[in-house]
Amino acid sequence: MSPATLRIFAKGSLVIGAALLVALVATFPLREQAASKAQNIQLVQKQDGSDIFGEPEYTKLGSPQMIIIEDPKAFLDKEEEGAKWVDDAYLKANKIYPVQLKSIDATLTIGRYAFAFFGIDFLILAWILNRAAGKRGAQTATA
Amino acid sequence: MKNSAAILMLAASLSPLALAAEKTFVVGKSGMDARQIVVIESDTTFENFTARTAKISGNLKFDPEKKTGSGKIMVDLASLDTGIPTRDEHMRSPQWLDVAKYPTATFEITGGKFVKGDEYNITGKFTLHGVTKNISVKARVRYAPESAKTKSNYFQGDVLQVQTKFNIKLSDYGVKIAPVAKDKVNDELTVSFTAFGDSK
Repeated sequence: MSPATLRIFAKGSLVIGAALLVALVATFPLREQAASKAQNIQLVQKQDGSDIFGEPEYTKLGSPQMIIIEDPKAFLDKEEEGAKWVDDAYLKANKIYPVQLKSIDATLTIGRYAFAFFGIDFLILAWILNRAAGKRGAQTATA
Repeated sequence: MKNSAAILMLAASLSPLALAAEKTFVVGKSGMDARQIVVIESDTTFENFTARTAKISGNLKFDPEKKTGSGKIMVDLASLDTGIPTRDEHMRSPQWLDVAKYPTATFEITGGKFVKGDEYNITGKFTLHGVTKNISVKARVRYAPESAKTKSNYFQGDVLQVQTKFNIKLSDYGVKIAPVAKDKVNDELTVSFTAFGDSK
């Protein structure tokens, strides 16, 4: 491979490596943005027939989670232990699929490791290719 | 002698009443789907997800005066819905709950102790994946005699509602989580259910 070709590959690797490291850094504000939208939410479902014992009741669907739900109509006028109640029937009827903050965190963590690993690999590759191009260039000049 | 005879007569006259106080409730009649629910929650670092079903059936006996009861509740595991069809299929497969072989989870109530209000401590046998374990749970048991309100809610006869929440470990019931799925499914699950039974 000619020194010019090696230098092109070196530049390509450098660009990819730098882009991956930029992506790694970008995950931090992305996470902060998601966290600012997430709220402590308890999904509930209205329990038909429960009013025979008094007031109508809701069944809690799992435990409260940090979830991103942006539609204000999904929220019921009730809060318990800091968790806002959201009507699961409304979410289903409106095809809203809430995202949990912990899922975003887990995905970003995996992404960060991948970006860091491949970013550094490409930078090392760029350095190796650049060095090889330099050596071959020197050999060609000597010959 | 006269006193003894009177006591015997009184006891004989009261015993049918005492027996009559225990009522049998059928759980899971048609039309109950919007009322009943079983929620199974898995909490992992990646996400929390719930599997839900309204397919609960069984029979319960309850004495509203003595506040005692017994019975058996069954949950149709094939109807559990996690909201993701692929995950539902995995859950039903032989590697997980194996619903073809073990179609139901059952909770057989063997004893109960009234605590206060609607609160009870219930002991029973919980069966999942062919394995039975004795468990003790806190439960909320509510009874409503037949009334215009129960009728307007399409209940037939008296109504009994049982609500409980407890934790189980899948590994205790012979369900092994593959290493690849450990971040997505917790070995320890929280099971909560609300069941309604009516007496006619």
